[in-house]
Amino acid sequence: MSPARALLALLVCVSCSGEPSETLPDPPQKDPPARTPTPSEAARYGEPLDAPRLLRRISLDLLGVLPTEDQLRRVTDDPTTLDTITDELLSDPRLEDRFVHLLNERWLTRVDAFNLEPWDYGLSAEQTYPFLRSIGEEPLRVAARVLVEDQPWSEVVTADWTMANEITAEIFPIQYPEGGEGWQVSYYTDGRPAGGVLMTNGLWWRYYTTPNNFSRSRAAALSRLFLCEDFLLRPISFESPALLDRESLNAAIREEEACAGCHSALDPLASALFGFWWFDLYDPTELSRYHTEREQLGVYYLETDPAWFGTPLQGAVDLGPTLAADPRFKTCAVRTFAELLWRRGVEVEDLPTLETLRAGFVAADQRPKTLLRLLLAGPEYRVGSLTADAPDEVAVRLSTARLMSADQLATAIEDLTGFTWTLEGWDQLDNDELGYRVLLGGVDGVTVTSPLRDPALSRVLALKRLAQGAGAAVAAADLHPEATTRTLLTEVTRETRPGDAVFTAQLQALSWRLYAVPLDAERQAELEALWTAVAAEDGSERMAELAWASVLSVMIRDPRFEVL
Amino acid sequence: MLIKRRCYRNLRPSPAQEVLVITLLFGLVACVGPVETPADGATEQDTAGEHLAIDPPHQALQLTADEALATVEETLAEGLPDVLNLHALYEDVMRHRELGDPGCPVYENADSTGPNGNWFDRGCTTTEGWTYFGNATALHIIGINPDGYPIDAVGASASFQVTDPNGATFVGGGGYNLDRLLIEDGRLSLFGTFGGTYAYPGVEGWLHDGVEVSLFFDGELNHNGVGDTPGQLRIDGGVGRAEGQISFRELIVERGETMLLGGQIDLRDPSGYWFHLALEGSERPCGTFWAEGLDEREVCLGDHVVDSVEALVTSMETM
Repeated sequence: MSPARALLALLVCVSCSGEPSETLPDPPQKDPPARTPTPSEAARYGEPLDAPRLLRRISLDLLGVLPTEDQLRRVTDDPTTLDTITDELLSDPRLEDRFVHLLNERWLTRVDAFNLEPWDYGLSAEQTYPFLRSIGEEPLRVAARVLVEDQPWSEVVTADWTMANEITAEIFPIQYPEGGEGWQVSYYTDGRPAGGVLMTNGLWWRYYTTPNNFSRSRAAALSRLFLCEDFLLRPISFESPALLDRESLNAAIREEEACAGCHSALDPLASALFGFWWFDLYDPTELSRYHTEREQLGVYYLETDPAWFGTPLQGAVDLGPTLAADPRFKTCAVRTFAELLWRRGVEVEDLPTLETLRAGFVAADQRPKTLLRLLLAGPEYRVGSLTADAPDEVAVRLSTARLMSADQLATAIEDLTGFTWTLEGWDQLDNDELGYRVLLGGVDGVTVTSPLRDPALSRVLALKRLAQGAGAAVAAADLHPEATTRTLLTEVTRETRPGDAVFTAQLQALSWRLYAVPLDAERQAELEALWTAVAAEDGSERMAELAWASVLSVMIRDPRFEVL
Repeated sequence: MLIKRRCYRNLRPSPAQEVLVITLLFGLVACVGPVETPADGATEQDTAGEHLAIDPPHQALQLTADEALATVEETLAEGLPDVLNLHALYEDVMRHRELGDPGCPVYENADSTGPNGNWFDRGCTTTEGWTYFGNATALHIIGINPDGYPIDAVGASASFQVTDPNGATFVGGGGYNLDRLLIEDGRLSLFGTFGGTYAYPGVEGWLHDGVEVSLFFDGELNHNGVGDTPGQLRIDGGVGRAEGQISFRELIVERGETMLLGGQIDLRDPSGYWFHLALEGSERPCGTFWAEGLDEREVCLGDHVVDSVEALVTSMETM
């Protein structure tokens, strides 16, 4: 047996919790003996963040904003309140928006271009950005609504409703609540079967198929997103026949063993997706509606009836319930949530942890908030540093410091400062047509499909501009003589100078607010020197405003801000 | 030539990655059995291999068998979508185009004066009051093919809305083609695809209330219906109307002195499940009718189905 196979066998054996082999005695029917859990790498070698910084990480991950001063005070006074605050965050309505962005790192539907443009529906060019986001967010909004309402995760692929806003309600055959505003639970009226996100236009606009692909790419996407099984990762080799037409392609798929390895499962799955088959890839009437009369076209194009990995399907109507009943769906949900919150890929070493998480998730009737709580409480999530004896490979695997994503930067800074960066109606941190989403480390969903995990020059440059804009906006607003409310500069005025007690108190408050870390003397001296230098350089009556703008800009660009 | 290919995109996984993937696939799926109680009534087997035995909950049919058969008739009461009819209508409305520079709509082939060709417009109105929005590429070829046989072919790729002076809008989205070739012995060889979403309340018939169509044709008919050997046409695909959605699976039309129908016609129940009718191919359009959870029964189709198929064949064999 090769070392790899031996490792595989060992891991499978280690990770099994209850399936006995023939050589082992029958397990007891009740109360199986508790296994001695093997500490995970994170538990063995990881040191958790302290309570304030952990709260900061959780708040950013769940809501995209920094914790409030009150939350920081509570958790500092009593670290055991962290669980209570976490529950509060899980009940915060901002969780929905944040989860849309988080899950998009996996589903990749918030793209900057679809086959159709606003004018195809008679919408104005100014509506391009909201049009794109409305389409791309539809499936994500369904999942996010399931999360915030803590419905069983299976609802994501079985719901008979979708999420719609004013734009999608106008352009798609959707029943939208009368008088509703923004994203609302809505219903398609074109006869499509229930199937949650599987029956949304948004998902299949992103994962479209072409005249010679016959929905296979969609089936592969479905498997990848909801089963965590990627057909494209299956290593095969075969003799290549001529594959220039549908007949020869279908023949090869049936007759070549290597082809059949994937296509025996892929094609029947694709055959269930022809309600979304379009005879023109750029026509609004074709792309807006689900085509019930086409549900059986897979038999014509692919020469196979719909089936789910060997189990016949009666049609698209069976797709969602069958997927939900597949154990891999739950396993994939756990893996997806874990990878999104751990900010790293799942490793072999994580299998026992994933198994435990899955058991808890399933025992809780697939309630996603339970899964989130389990993940947030785990050492893999909480790790902030490593013990001295941690092997190098563990340091590589465990993500002890995580970069804020582009959307986290946008929402955190808006929440902190009120500053938003827009151009011609586009959110500059949330697009790559005009903006800097990818430069900041985000995904565009097509060419960049994994978020940036390590610092990069482009991110530094984009963050610099963002910090400068936010710092200038805060300084101008907060130091305005007639300002009635202030965001960050709550202690000082234009007349305050370094050395004043109030000045120091302001720097301390900023450090605590921005980083959840007390200000140290060295950093204080650096910031005071910066303030003084900028003020001296300008010398005008606006020098305090400019100096504070520079200080804020530097503090926001500080790695302690962008790392969670 | 032997070409080795790999069925993944760019990079071959490292051995360690392969181990990880394999382990994830087998380890995770295989090892979660004892902790789960399906909450949705579905049968779930969590052991390796056995996870494929999934039996999800099913919905009940909403139509009775009699209602389903009646729906098939109602769906075809206005006839089957006829691609030749559609293209003739398209040519009619495009003849109202306004020539000039840039013209309305704007044709890419500026020298053209007829209805066919390639046009694109974000909305223009002619002095006659026709409004054109969208784009289309259409052609109609009548001539002799390289083998010396007469050919009549129509085709289009469409995404348009044309509003006539009466306010009725002709909507076309999709594509179609029908190639008809007159070969030996007065036989007409034809094949085609008719797909898309079409509507035009300005005309009567199958297009008036709109139709979604995904039909495929292949066969040999007798030119203008005259010949000693029966013609045969195979029809696959679907037709969706407000009344119902039907799908043909290898529907074989034998066109002789009498018309014989074989193959299968399916009707979609509003629940999403399908009724099936396997025609026996005899002179009477009869066959076995069934659906999941429904007892099989022998039924015969009414006039609408037969008439609509006959009308379509008549149209296609006329050249």
